[in-house]
Amino acid sequence: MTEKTLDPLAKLLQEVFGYTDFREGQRETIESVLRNKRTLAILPTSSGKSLCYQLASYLLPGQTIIVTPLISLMEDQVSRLRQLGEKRVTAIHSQMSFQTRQRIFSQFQQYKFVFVSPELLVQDWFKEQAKKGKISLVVVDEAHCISQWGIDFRPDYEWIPEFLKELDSSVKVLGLTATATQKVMEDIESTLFHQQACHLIKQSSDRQNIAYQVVETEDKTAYLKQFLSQHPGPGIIYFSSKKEAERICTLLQEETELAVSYYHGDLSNQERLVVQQQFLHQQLHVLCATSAFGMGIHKEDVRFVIHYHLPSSVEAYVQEAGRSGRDGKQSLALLLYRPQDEHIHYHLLEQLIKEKEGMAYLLKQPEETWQQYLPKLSSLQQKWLTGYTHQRYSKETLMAGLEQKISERTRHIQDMLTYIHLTTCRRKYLLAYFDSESEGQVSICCDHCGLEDLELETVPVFPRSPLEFSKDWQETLKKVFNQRE
Amino acid sequence: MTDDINIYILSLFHPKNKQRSSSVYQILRGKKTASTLSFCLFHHLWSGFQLFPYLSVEAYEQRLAELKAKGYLVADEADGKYLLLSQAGQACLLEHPFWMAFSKEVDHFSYGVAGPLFLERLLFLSQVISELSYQSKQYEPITSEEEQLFWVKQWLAKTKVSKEGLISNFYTEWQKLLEQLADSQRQRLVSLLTGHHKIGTTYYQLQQMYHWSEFQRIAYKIYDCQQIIHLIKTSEDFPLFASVLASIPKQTISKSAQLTYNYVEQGLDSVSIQRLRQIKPSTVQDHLIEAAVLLDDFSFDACLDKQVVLQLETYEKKQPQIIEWQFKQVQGFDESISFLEVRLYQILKVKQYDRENFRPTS
Ligand SMILES: [Zn+2]
Repeated sequence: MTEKTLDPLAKLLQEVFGYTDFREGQRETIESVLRNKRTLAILPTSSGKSLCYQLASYLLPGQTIIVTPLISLMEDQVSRLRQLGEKRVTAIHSQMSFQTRQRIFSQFQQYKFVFVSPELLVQDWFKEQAKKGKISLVVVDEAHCISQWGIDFRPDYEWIPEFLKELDSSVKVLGLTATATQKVMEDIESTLFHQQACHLIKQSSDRQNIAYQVVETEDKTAYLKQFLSQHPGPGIIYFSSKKEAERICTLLQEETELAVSYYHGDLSNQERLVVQQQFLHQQLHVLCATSAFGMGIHKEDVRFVIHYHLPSSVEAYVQEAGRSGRDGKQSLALLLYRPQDEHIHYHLLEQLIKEKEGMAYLLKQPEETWQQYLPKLSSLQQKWLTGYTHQRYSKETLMAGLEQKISERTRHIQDMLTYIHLTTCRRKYLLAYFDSESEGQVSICCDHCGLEDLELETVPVFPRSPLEFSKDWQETLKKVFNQRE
Repeated sequence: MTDDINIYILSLFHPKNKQRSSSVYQILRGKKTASTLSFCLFHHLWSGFQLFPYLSVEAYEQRLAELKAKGYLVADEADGKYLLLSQAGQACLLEHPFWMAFSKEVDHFSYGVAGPLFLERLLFLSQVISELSYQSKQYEPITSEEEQLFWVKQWLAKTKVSKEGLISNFYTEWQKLLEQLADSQRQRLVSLLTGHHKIGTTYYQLQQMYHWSEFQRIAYKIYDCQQIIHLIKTSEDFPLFASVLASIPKQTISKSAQLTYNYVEQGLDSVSIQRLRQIKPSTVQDHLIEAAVLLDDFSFDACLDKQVVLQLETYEKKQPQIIEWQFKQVQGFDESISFLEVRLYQILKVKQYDRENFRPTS
């Protein structure tokens, strides 16, 4: 590739996004999308994955459809694009009112970027619209969700290949993911691309500016307080439950000098965005988040990510830990472990096994009697059953799939425990896990290689008390609406 | 233990008008039937409608038992399923003026869902207008929901005044609104505001700061919304805020009941409506009761014969406690009067009484 042909990309990057350089993997991904029909890009968290399809899309004539698993994630991406000045962007999901959907459809052709949730892809009205529009590119975000072997397998994702088949053969497809083991990667290739050749871009998952540490302690909160007194953040602490996130948040708020807030699914969209802005604009030191809702947090200078509970898998761990140090500066991924933390995961696993057994029982009954069992099925079981009744797989495939899913989940927990009990380099373990290679020597690597030199830059945080605005409310109000006397 | 929830439940009871505890439970769960709606109206329990949609019978009974053990609630002598507020209970409530005000002023039936949505919309619009006042276009909106963004665009497009006029009118409405609120409430609302160079706060964060219970957080939010809505609705000073409020439908009569009532307004009788809509007589009756309770301009004249009203007025002189009327006893007085007529008469009278006695709060 000559310098000349590279220019338009760099120019666009500068114009639209205001960046002078591409991050690793971005340029390769964009160029591949422009040249090839099928691309699978495995880029580590915080490498700017969304920029890849956004930029590519500007160089393609038609629309870009982006399939995204979570509504919160979808809305987040939409608002980020809007902030870049892109108005031709919308999102369609099943929680929208009928009227809103109708409104979007009436002007469907005008949108350059359309975010959709996967379950909509099988709806006839959506397919119709998609065929009428001029689609150039379909992006499957979090593509690992399509894999049975992935951590967050989503049955809805299985509908994507079907949808792709119905589109014009010229439509390009880009699968994006941050975490894919060899197995998941192969699975994506075979399901999403029907074994057809795809161009693979794989960046090393090594995030050199993140140091890894595991602390085994009986008193996590005491450790946390001690840690925060030395490293006030900004940082994120992940929890496996809303209740715990709230409890520890309140405790930290009361027993430290820091501004701490929590962030989880009970907050409304507006409340989440307000808290996010506080965090982004240095009004909070620490955010206590649950995993599901931590996805939308985009902050460059997060200095540490702490896991208060045991993550469900190494994949999940690396993804969440990867939200620290997007700015490239020294950061820390710390996992707090107390023996028996894994019990909750084994408990969940047992539930899954029960659901599987229930499913096996149901499948052995005559089909005409299934109706009576329907109300008793869990939501997961209902999804499995729908897949079968829609003839997406046979009984045997389903049961075998579930078997494998269970053994996979067991392995995930074991792998996580292995990581915790390592006596050797943690980075090496993680790299091997993702069949990735090191990008060279890391000076501050992990607790086993030595963290004596670890220093986390302190970003000044200016907490705002709600009270400071209310003391002189007249003045505050004048300021808000720019009223001068 | 007398926690906030217990205090609130206590505030739903009355020293003189006995109430069936299971009916109060249905209201807290939010069962929308003709009988719960009438009960809500008769005992002024709108604050509780669907306030605890997941409350279990056991948990509810447990709370009642605690209140009875403290002597705050007493069982009616004739029938233990009915409860009355005791003197001790009244004394206890006096120490909790917020819960008394909440109980009296909140209409959770109409605004339980619409209220918080309205407040979020108002806050978002405030942010947009604040940024507009600073001529700033690059900012992070406090919503990422398509519906909200679209609504704001439309709202701005429809506004007829100039940009400067809009900003200053909007500011003035906020100022007038805040002036009329109590200190604590004003503090909450000012801190919630997001605008240019000011990021707001959330009720969750206020909860942390003021050490509220979870129920307090929920209740303050509902109460704040209700107060703003009340001020907007009872004054001419808030045309902009009123247009925001009008964009969010409150919970009201069900579509099916409305349809039945439309026929009544067109002059059709019950039998014709049954035939036309293919519904049971009891359903028509339920629809009319629902309409009578929920519609402000319900036409009682169309459903209640003058003769019947006169008869019931005579009966009322003997039995002035209208809400405690039993249909069987009314029948003993005049067997030609139907259940529907008795119920409608009760609703008519209670609404009249409410209009005269529950003046709008300021
Ligand atoms: Zn190491």
